[in-house]
Amino acid sequence: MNARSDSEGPARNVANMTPDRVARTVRGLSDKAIAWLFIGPTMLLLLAINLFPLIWTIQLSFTNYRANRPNAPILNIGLDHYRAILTDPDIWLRMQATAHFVFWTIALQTIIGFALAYLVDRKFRGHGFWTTLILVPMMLSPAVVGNFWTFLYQPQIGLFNYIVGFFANVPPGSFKMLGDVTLSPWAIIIVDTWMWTPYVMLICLAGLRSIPDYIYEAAEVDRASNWRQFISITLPMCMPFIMLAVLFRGIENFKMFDMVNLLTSGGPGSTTELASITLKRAAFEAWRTGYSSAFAIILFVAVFGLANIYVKTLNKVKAR
Amino acid sequence: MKSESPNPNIEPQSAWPKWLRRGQMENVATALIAAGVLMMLQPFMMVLFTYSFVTTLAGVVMFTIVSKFPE
Repeated sequence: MNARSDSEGPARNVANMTPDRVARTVRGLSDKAIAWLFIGPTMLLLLAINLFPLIWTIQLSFTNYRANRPNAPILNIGLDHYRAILTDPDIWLRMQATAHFVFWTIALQTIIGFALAYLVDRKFRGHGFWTTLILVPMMLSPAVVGNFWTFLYQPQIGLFNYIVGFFANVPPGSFKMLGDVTLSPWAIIIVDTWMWTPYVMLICLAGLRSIPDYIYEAAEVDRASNWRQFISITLPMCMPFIMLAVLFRGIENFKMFDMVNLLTSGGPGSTTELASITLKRAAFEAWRTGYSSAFAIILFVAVFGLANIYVKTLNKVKAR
Repeated sequence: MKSESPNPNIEPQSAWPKWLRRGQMENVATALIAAGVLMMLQPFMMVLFTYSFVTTLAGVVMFTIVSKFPE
């Protein structure tokens, strides 16, 4: 009885404070209608900022619209932009540059991230401090990272060139990480790996900590070697988590723009011009709004597809 | 009157065709999406790149539809 009156107390206070006119209106509504009343504004906001731009972009992708010529007649050209993009060898090359970036960043981040997680999972002296230190790059803004790596990559005064020069016994100014056609794709891969490996490490660490100790104890009883335990227990049980990290980083790197734009702006030439940079150039330098909308939709469908797989994997991990 | 199963843990048999179950169909859709993305990013054949968007789109549409199917 007391518990009931306690729980009713604040509710009763709120009810008493509600103006009579509002109370009369609300009293006539069902629970479902009141629920819709509460979530309605959020739904409207989401539709306005998410769904409307998407539908507008789809509509623009079928037209010859250019944002710098708002008064020019807008013609419906059907699937012409899609046809042009999907048969353009230059766009295919940009997609290959994106694939090179996505593949190597994911490979390096997964290997290094898992190795770091395996190390941090062993309880050693000061492991909390080292974990925090490893996580720092992930917390920085991509704009900050892009700017300070530009300084680190300076041929004359950059620390990166100095260290590589010291170990490789070459003058630090003899190579330009951001200005060389061969080295610049690797320069952006190194920066992305440096920044996002801690994230992969965190996910792998969650996977490692979810493995119950009794499985290892049973393996010890069966005299399984450390290597056998790693191959037969650790790796298979961590695999859903690794898949999650790979998919998430794949989606993020497929859309990568800010850091690469700050580091190289797609150069030298178009060596590091990823799909998102091509999209920006088509939309805001060439002002081909309809064309860039079609390109954006092509990229969106790929990312949306990967996101579906990501959610499916996430549900599998949750079920475990 | 609705007849009740003697064991409540055993679910009644669904009339939904077995081959149209969500799990299997989602796997097919996932394979289509993965194939489409790989076709988009591969460096070997231009024709694969040309048809990558249609393949991915088919996978995405299929995934959206079959995720509403019964398990």
